[in-house]
Amino acid sequence: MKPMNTKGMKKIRNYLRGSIAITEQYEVRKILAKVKKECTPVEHKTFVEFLRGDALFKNVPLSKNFMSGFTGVVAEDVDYKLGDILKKINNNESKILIVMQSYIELVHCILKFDFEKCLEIGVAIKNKNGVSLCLLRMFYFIRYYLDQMEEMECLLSKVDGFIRDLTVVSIGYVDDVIKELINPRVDYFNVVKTIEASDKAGFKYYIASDFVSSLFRSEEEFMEKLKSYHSVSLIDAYIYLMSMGRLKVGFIDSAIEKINKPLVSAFKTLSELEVDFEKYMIEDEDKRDLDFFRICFLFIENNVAWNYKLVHSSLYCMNNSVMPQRFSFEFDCIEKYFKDVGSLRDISVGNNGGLSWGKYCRKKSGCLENSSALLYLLERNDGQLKDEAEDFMRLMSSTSEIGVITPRSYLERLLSSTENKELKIVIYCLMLIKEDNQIVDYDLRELLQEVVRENYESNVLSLVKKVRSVSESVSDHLVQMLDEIFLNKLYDLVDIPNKALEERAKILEWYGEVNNSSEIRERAKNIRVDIQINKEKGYIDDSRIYVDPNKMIHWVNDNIIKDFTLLLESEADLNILTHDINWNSLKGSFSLYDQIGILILQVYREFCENNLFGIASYLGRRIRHGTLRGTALKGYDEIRNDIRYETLFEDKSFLHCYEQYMADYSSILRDLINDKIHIKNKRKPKGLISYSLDSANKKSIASYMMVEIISSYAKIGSAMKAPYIMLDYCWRLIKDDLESVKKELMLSKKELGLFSFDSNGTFYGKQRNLIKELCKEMNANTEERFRIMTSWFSKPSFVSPTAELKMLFKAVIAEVKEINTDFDPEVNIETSESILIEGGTYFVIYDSLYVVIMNAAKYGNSSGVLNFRPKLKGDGLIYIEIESEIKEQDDVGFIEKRIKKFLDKSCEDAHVVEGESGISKLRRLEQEGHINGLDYQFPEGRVLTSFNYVLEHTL
Amino acid sequence: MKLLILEDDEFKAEDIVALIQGSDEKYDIERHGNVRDAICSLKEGLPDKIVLDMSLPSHSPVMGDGTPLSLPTGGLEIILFLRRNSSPGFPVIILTQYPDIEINGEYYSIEESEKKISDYFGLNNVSVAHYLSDEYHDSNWRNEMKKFLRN
Repeated sequence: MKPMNTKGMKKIRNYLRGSIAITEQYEVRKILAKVKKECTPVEHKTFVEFLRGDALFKNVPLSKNFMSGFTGVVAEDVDYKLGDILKKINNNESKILIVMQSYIELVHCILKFDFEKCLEIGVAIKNKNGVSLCLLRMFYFIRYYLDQMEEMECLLSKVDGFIRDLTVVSIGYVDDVIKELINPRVDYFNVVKTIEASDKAGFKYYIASDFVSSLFRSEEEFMEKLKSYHSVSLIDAYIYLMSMGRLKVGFIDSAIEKINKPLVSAFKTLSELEVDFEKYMIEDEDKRDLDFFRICFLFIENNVAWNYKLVHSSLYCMNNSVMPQRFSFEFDCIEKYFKDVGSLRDISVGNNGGLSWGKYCRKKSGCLENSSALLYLLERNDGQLKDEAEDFMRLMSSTSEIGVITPRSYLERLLSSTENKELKIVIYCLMLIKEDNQIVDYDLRELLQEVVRENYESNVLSLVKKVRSVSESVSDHLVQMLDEIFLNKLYDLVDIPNKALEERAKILEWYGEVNNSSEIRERAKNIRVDIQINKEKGYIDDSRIYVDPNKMIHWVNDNIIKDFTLLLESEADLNILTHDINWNSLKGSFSLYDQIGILILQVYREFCENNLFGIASYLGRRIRHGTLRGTALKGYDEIRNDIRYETLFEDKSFLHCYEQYMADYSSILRDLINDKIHIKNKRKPKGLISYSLDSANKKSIASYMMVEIISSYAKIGSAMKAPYIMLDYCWRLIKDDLESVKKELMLSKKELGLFSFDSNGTFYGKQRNLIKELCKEMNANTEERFRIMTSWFSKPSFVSPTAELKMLFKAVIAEVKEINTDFDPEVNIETSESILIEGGTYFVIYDSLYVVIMNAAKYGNSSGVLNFRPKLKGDGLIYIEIESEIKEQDDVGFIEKRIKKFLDKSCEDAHVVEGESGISKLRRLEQEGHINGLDYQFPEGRVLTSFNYVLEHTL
Repeated sequence: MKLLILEDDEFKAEDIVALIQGSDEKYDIERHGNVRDAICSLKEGLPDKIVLDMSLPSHSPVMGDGTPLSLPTGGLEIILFLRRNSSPGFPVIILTQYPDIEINGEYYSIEESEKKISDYFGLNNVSVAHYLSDEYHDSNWRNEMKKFLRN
């Protein structure tokens, strides 16, 4: 270090004196900031060097060159040059070599599966101040292996304890990134996107991005990463430098030439230790290649792991512009690895789940390796394929994330190089995975309709089925894509909106069968109920403020529930009540609750902003779009043209006064329409409805939403109810903003003021009375206009899927009649009460009614009397009674016996066994708590079925 | 000359029809208020000109048929159809009540959107005007319409 005799250095000496006793992180941050601000870069660096390396400052909580645990504060923005770091590495040769010796010993113990010994070595390294991110990664590698093994809990908890002792909590973000990257249940590219969505600055970002790519693309990036590792520990800087030396890049080669030979040799020894990684990859044999790809950064010093990562991270990545920046060594490695891949047929169409180390092997390869191989081929052929359509489609099932990793230009070339229409559909889908594009979306819909019309008798499902015979993955994607919104836009095939629902229901019914998924079948059934209800609806939906509940729930099911379930599945111990969410800074976080928070924000944003079914759509279509203006100005023309007031308007001053009032009114309306009755965003900063949680009340409601959806998941073990809960809470979240709109309307009315005219000197006698009358009429009209407009901004009663009970009953009758054409009873609905069933669980009541009425149709008098007697009871119950007639020739005693037999029967198979009488299904609904008090009576040739329906979601 | 009006707002449609009927040019007017009916009509044969609204429902609202999808950029479905099925010079006027138009997730002002539609969809004879009702005393859209009808 430099002598401390210059003026600047004397200042540093004073700062150092003041730092010796620092034990708190905030104090270190404060003094670092002060020195950075008041001193030169050289002085700042000298100051940091003392704090990092001098024994006097060993208790100062700042990261050190050599340390026994991580600290929360690292010195960033220090003006280190490559030469500074090289010099430091050489100056600390002996210390580094001691630590490296221990690391090598640690790897030997990993090779022997002697993890107790690994822990002993780990403690020794800690005592020698040899803690680094490299050591942390190695212990995460051990942890990864132990986590897959049964009966290793004890050792696993010791490893967890050791990791904790390294005070990883102080480098929380980096630790979280490691955990997410190696967690097979978390989508890999989602983790990558989350890292990329962070601030892209600071040591945390550079280290996290190095875990993902283990490469750099410019000298600047290399220096940022080196400095980032150096800011954590000198060991990490040394290991990073030596690792990158394997790329054989000029400026790094020159740097390494300056490194002392024993240090070069130590890294060589560590990197060449032979590790049989396959022995550590036990879990999930289907995707061992992807799993290894995800974890190999933990052992990136090892040459085999490094080479694997080098080849695949160049191809299996989101960044399309990587190729031109590749190093020649990288190209060589890729060429060598895929030496035997000359055509699509050289890539495996099956997922073998194995790992190919030095060279791609068709017989062993898994999805990741196949995907890289396909990208390699596309790169080599510049995106052209000849007569290989089916092969390409087949490969969609043995590859993954092709839409994400394939550059757009290749997809475009593929599209123009094939005549095969099914392949074109696949390519359009891949393009849309990559980016939303209206032309591609339209062209895809046109082509899909053409193919379905020409080859599949206008049956969309037939196409999906055919595609499945070639590639399951493509058909899975089509099922996801062909949602109600997409189907509605197939104008040739879908002539009415209900047809879109029918097609969606058919697709989900089939998909539920092939996947043996009761959840998907349930979704299909619910859509069928919606269709039936739509048919019976006696009105055209025309609410003002509204979110289409069915479309919103379908959107949540299609876009959120998968991620939500993945998150909750990954957490064994759900802490339902005690989480503290900082709703302002969720982005880039890996905490489970923060990630659920991100999903909640996504749902609320969609609820507000979705242009097709969200608040924004209705603001535009039903409020701003003509209606507000039309309503606001209604009545004034009549007043203006009223013959009684004709003479008043002949007076110029009166006419001017009137026109001024109407101009002011128009100006106020313009403000409301153009700026205020909008969703707040960059374009509409004055928008009164905001999708962000910008008040304490909104944050608190969002936290309650989280508690309720997690509780619901914990209770029923699935996320089935989550969409309904989310929709309910979204309405609670928006309530304050709707109040703001109402207040704004009231303010606007106040601003406009009352219409009045000072008639002194202009009008006399009767004319004055006429003016008073006109003013009264004008002001009453204004009052009424604003009252109507204000009423639009209240939560509508139909905020979740809702059905009126009588309509539900009629829908069931209609459906049963469609199946049993002879069924034509005399229906009596014996109630005048209007009972609304909310919350989507009306499907349960539909199911119950269906069972009873179907039985009446099948076994009863098909033209007899059918009485329906619903009654709203207290305690959230609806009492339902249905009375039907038996056939004249039937014996009531026999029927009573038969029904009782079914009631006593096991109801375990009620969900899977259809047919018979369905009575066991009623029993099942009763056991699950959806209905209660199920009872059958048999008065004089009739069957009287009754039960109570339990109202769950009352808003 | 056949002119197709694609507009779901009765008041606005009446305004447009009145303006056309008051002009010197004579047109056979056909009107549809949703995307599906419009596409069906276009598939039967292209008119000579189209007056287009941006926000259209997917289907005609009919009791018992389900709720049509509200498409804020439903008009672009027509532009996309014309992109594939007409010449680049096909005459269209977009009369929108919104101050901007959403294309591929980005919003463009009325002034910008003509060029954007030309660049992006390859239709170079599309004019865009901000429709404002009489209360606003803005004759811009009427002038644009007159120009459109004359050409």
